[in-house]
Amino acid sequence: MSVAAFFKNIQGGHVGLFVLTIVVLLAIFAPLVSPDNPVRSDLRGRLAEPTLSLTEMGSAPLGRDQLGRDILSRMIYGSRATLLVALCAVVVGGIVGVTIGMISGFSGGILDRILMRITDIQLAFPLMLLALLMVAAMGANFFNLIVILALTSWTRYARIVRGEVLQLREREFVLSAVAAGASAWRICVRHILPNIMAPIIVVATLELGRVIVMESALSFLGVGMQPPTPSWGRMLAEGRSYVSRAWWLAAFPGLGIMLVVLSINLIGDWLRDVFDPKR
Amino acid sequence: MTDTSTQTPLLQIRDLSVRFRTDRGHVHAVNGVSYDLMPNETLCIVGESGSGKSVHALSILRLLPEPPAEITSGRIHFDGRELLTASRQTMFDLRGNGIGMVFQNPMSSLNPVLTIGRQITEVLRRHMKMDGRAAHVRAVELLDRVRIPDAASRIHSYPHEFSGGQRQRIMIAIAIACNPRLLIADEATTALDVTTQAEIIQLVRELKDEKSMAVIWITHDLGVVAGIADTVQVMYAGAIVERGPVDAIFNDPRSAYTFGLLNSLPDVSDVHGARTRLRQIDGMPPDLHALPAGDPFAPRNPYATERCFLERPPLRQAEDAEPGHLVAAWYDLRKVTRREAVG
Amino acid sequence: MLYRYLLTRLGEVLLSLWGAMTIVFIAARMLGDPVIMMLPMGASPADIELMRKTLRLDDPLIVQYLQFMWNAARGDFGVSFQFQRPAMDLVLERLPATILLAVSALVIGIVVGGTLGFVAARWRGTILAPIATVLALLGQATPVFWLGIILILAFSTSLGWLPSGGTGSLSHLILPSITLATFTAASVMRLLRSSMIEVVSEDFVRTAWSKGLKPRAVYVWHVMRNALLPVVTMVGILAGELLGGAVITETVFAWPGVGRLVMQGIETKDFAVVQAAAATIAAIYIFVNFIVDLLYLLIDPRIRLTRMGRA
Repeated sequence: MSVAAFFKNIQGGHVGLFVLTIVVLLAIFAPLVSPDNPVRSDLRGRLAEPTLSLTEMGSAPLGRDQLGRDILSRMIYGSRATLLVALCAVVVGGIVGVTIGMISGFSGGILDRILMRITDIQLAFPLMLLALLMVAAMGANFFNLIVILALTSWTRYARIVRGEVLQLREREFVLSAVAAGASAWRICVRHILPNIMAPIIVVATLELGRVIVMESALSFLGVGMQPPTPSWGRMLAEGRSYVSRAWWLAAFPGLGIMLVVLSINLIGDWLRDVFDPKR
Repeated sequence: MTDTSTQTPLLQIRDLSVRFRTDRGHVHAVNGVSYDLMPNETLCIVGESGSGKSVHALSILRLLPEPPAEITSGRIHFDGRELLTASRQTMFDLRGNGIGMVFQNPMSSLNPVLTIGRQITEVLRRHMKMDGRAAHVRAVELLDRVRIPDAASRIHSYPHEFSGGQRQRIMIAIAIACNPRLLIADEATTALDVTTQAEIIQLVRELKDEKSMAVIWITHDLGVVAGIADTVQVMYAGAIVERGPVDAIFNDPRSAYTFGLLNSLPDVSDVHGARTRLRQIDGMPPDLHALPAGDPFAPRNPYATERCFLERPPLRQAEDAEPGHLVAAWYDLRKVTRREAVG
Repeated sequence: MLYRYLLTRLGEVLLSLWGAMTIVFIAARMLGDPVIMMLPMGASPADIELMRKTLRLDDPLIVQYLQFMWNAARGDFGVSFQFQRPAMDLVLERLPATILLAVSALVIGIVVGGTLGFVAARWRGTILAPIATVLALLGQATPVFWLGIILILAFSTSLGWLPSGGTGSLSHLILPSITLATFTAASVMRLLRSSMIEVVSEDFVRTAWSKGLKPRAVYVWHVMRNALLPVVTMVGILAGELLGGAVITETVFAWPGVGRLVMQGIETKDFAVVQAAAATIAAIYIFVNFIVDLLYLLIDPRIRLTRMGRA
């Protein structure tokens, strides 16, 4: 393939995947790639301007914060907590949502109606407000944040999975499995689940982006990830007070969130097109 | 019947070719189609899907999405105007005005969120420059004319409140609203049941005489053709394979493809007891990405000669046939079928 | 038939309200012991006990819950210990500011997003389409709080054109409403664009062209009119995003609305205020979705029959 053809065939999803892979690698190998210790203060270097140079030893490429901590290192370490919490929340929310959606769609009847009513009721509460109340009530540790974010997430899976199951339930291969006497559980796991993985993956991807933004928002409001764990939202909140003197404190963490969410959304759109060729 | 010798044609198509760009290369949908249509004439164009009959009709109105469609050659002369080089403005003024069109699927061809009254008056206001009141009155008349019962009140209804046949009547009302000189019906009755189909055909025949329009009736069903056509034109792989007066085509077909189509019709005279000979045409429709050098039908044609595979036959007057009965074939169907009957 | 549908829908609204109030109740109980927060440091155990009694916090949870529901139904969420006033009064005082902000954002979002979406679908082959698409992608990925800070930095701190926070004049409204509108605009743009592209290839649009209608008539009456249906449905969901986003936007811009009140309530553990504010926001959200459903009933003639037939 020629270089020109290579660039012509590149899609948004590829770029997103590329960027996200780099971010994830940086997060995993944070101790190796960070130029500095994220919590070490350098009081002489307080609010040092970004040098945008990675080669100059001892310099802070993205500047230093009000305590003289290196922003790039804090961002690399901060991505760890953010990504891990978001990923766990999406997985937990996904498992709960898919299970409920399958039960609802497969059993039908009164159980279906009760479960869908619960979904409706929860969706009738603005998610951000729900998360805020829950965080304020339960306190924000790593575990609680996962539970709370998963709580805002499961409804979307449940609705989509239920719809898909309702369609699949009438298809031949499911009917023949029913006729062959397979248990409901077995039919769901062996026959239905593999056929609805595509929409689940698409929802999970888009939810990942949403959950990252929500986690950052909670941290920004001061109820999310607690210090000393660096988190992008918290860095932004702290940098806000210095925004007129040192724009880089708030600008770079926000740019980081935006870049990651943009990449994830691009991947999600791309996956949706791949899985659904008619669009 | 139309006297072809004295009048000037309403529509003249010369060497029209249309192709579509796809991932696998070009699809050659229409390949050098030429014919004349007289005022008041009813022309039935018959062919299977992919024969180019619909595409060529859409290119008359320039309704094909370009790209992916591309008109590579030809001239379309309608009522004193050349359409392929006409300005956008000319085409906008012609559509729905000089030429009305009815499409295949009545269920999806009307806008679901506008009342049918609105959809009829729209075209009257656009072309006839009527005000709202006049357009409304005219729309009720039109609905009444296409036999929608209780037109005055149903004009405020939405498409989903009508049956398929009624919706197609409404489509016809829209198409004839501005008294076009040509009505194109693209598989207009295909989606309808047989009774409704007959009613629609009857309606179009009446309207044709009333408004003295020419009609191009596109169908894959030779059965409907007998009831409406003056002239029949059979298309295959984007080209005309046979064309002639309706009786000539039915009684004396000269193309093996037309012969095959006629043979696949249930023979009505055979109904009592005797085995109805229903024969399908064997083989696959041609690949429009790469058409052969010879007659595209040759691979499916039991009577094909060697020349059929090598050279594409031109459309020309058939031997010992009525004037205007044209065929594109190297073989003489009369001889081969006679030999078959004897053998 | 219509009445039956409305009645069912109204029942759903009440059910949602009940669910929302239950969530508020649970969250508020979990916020911590309000008595500790209300009394000054070093209050005697007897004082604490007395306070518990007067607040009826010693009752069984189910009794507290029923009491809460009864009070909530009358709009009584208790007294803010910080302000020493009924919490609902505080919320109602700040409600107009939040509604002003949310409605401005919604209008900006729909107008800007609608225009961009229309442009991207209408002139699909031109350079305008990818520009609009990129803008929408960026808009959807930009965190509200960060956008607010950046706008303050640009238009307030650096250029000095607009105030960085507070309220009082139209110029105070500009930055917060743009901040809040961005996500809405991006979502509307993307949905309208894809919905229009789908509708453009519908048979009835071909019919419209075959009638000789001008592009403007075809796009406005035939394409847009149909493509708007899913957008209207989404406005209900967007209202939730707007109300959630209002909490953040109001905090960033020191906008004296209900969202900021929620944050203040959480910070000071003023649980009456949190309850009242959260319940109000949830109620507004439920109400907006109800209105959107009614609106849908008006604009899609097909639903008028089928939905009512089902309900």
